[in-house]
Amino acid sequence: MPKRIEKLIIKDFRGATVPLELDFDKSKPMAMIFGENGTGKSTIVDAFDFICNQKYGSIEDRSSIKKKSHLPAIGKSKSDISVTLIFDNKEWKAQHMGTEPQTEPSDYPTANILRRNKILDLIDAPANERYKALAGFLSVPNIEKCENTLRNAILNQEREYNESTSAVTQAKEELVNLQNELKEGEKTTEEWSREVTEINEADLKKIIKDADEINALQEQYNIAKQQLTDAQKNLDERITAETKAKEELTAFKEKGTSKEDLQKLLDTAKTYFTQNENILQCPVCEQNIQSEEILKRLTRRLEEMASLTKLIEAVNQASREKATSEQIFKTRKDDFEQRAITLGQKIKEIKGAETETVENQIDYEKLLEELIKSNKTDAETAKDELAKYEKYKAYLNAQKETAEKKQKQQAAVKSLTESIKQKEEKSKKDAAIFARLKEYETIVPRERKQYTDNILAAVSSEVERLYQSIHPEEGLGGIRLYLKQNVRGSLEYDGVFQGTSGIPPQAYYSDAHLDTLGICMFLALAKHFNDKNTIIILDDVVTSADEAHRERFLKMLHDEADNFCHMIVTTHYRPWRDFYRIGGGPANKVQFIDLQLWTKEAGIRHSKSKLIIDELRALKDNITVDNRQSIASKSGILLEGMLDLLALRYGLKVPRRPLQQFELGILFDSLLKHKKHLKTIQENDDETKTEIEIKPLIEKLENMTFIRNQIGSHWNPDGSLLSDIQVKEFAENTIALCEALTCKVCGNLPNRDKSGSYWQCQCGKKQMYPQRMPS
Amino acid sequence: MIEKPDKTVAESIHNKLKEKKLLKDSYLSGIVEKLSSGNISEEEWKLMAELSLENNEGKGDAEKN
Repeated sequence: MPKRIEKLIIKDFRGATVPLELDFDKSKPMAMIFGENGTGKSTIVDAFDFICNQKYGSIEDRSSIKKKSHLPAIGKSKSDISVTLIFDNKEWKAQHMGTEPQTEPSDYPTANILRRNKILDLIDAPANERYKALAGFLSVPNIEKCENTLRNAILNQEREYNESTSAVTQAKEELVNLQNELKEGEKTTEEWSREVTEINEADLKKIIKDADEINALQEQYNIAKQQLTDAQKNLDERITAETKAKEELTAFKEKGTSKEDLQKLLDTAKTYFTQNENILQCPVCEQNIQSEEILKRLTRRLEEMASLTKLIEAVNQASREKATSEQIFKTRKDDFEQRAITLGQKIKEIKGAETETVENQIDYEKLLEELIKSNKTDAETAKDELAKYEKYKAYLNAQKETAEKKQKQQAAVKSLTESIKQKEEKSKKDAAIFARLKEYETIVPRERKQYTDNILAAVSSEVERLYQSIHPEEGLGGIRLYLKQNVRGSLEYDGVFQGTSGIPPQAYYSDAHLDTLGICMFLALAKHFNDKNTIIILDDVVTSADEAHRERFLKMLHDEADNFCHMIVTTHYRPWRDFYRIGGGPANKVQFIDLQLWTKEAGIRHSKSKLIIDELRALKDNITVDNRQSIASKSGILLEGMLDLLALRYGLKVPRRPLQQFELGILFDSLLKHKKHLKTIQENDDETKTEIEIKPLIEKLENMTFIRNQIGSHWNPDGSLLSDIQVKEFAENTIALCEALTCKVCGNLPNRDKSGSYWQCQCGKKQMYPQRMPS
Repeated sequence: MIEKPDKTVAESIHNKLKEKKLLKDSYLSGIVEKLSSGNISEEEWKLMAELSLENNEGKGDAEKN
């Protein structure tokens, strides 16, 4: 048993001012909701859109109104809205939560809805609008999202690749510029940079190191030499100072004033004269003296005696200082000689490794001698060697300068070549990534297009099949749906018109033909993507159609309805509904729901339509004075409908009438020669078959048509004379003919000619013979 | 409504990438989910390309050229 809708409950939504409960018949794959304009068909369809697709339904595309504001029933708010769906024994509820409709729980069925205005989008809209109308089927938004990011990734990568390529070029140019700056242009940049980078860096370092060492040793030698000179000078000064101090002491001593006894005596005398003032006579020689004068002389002489002490101390000090200077001089001399030896050895060590010309050869012993003696004024023995050394030193420094220059060049070239190498590697990698991304790009959009093309090819084929079942042998069809080349989201289609292919149907087909084409497209796509959990809704898509097309359209629709779990068809076109009521369609496979006039107080109201035959069955057993006219009338309508279908099925001859309306007498006459050929065979549930001859049933009714005229159609005194039993028999015979002609399983008058020898009903359980009336 | 067209296309893309060895194995396993949910950023496309090249996956036109 396919999944089916069981119930839809709509509360405070659009036209449902009063809660609406719609029960669906699970045994029937199709429900036809009939209602004149303004009875609530769109509200029901919108409710399915709301709960199954979380959309606002028919007001979705109306830009002139606020959708959310007009979704609730008059006087209600968004929060009052609720739509409940019971489907396959499960229940879902949709409400307007927050800003969007929400359905809970998840895994709700979806609804594919085709509205009348959408047919135009499918058929006559620009190619991009047509694509949008079918985007739900064709688009793969997430793949397209990834495709967009891939496209951006490619653009970015291309930019990155271009940048890395120009970085390589720039780095190479810098190398050429350096080569030119260094005036090395006679070689190619590649040769030059290779040579420069191949120079032995250790050799350069050694040259620089040797020169630095010689210079450092030379500097130390110079310092030591200067220090020795200073020490020599200092020593000389100290010797002179000592000599002078000694000379002064000798001179002083020669004056005889240096006796210690005398100094004591004078000291005693001074004390005596100091303590004994005004002595007039010398205590030793007893001569007259002036004691004051003697005291002065004593003081002066004792002072002279103190100078001697100082002179002795000065000699001692000068001697100590000389000794210190001698020590320093010796130290400086040793240091100087050591520096000279170290320098000489280093020169010998470095120079010994050099290839030199004879005139530049240095006698290292002589040089060393010169270096050591160079501090002395008589050092003349090795002057030539010193000159050679000076020349060598200049050469060494020149070598160092060259080596440093080369070292700097090498560093610059190495840095640039390394930079070029890295940039080239990056550029190569960027190129590979770019190429790989381009490879992705050849796959992703192609697979997406291939997917769409496959769908469109399959759907085109199905559209053609469906369309031909409605419009056979009309020179139409050949429908081909395809995506416009190199244009995103653009769906084109063309077809055949009277043998000419590739024409746009909208330019040549009639509106009715375009309508059916749109419906076929929709059904073919819905069928292609059908997942057995999808409800198909055709909302008022068919208005008028001639009988032949209407019958073929219904036949196609019923055939296709079996492919889906449930199909809902709404219409305001009454002939379509009535066509079923007289057995024109497989009524037993359709649930009929009639909508009544809408009022604000009552909301959407509905009733279940009955087939006329069912109405008759119910009425005939309860015939009263009040309903006998109704019974006669309904019997007549049903009988006319059945006979009209037979005449149409077999192409029977009827008189030409302007409006193709035929009363019973004419229809019976059309069957006059043919009724004897008519029979039906019904396959029963127990696999037995019931064969019924139609002729006797028709003949019975031929003799009862006056009942319809006298009771059901006109006021006639004779009608009053007819009994209820006669009216009941008329109804029963009409029902018998109807039952004999229509399938008791699907309720359909056989209308398919698959076998070639008989007609069969939609479900195949009823056969009607012959397939063609003998001429 | 429909049997996840995004997933259908994602699977066919996955098959092509696998057939041409244009993706690292570790990415192959998750690519269907990422594609069908629209979750591949520009950076991730680049990373996928980079990793596939590092591992020398596939011999695409890039390397042939």
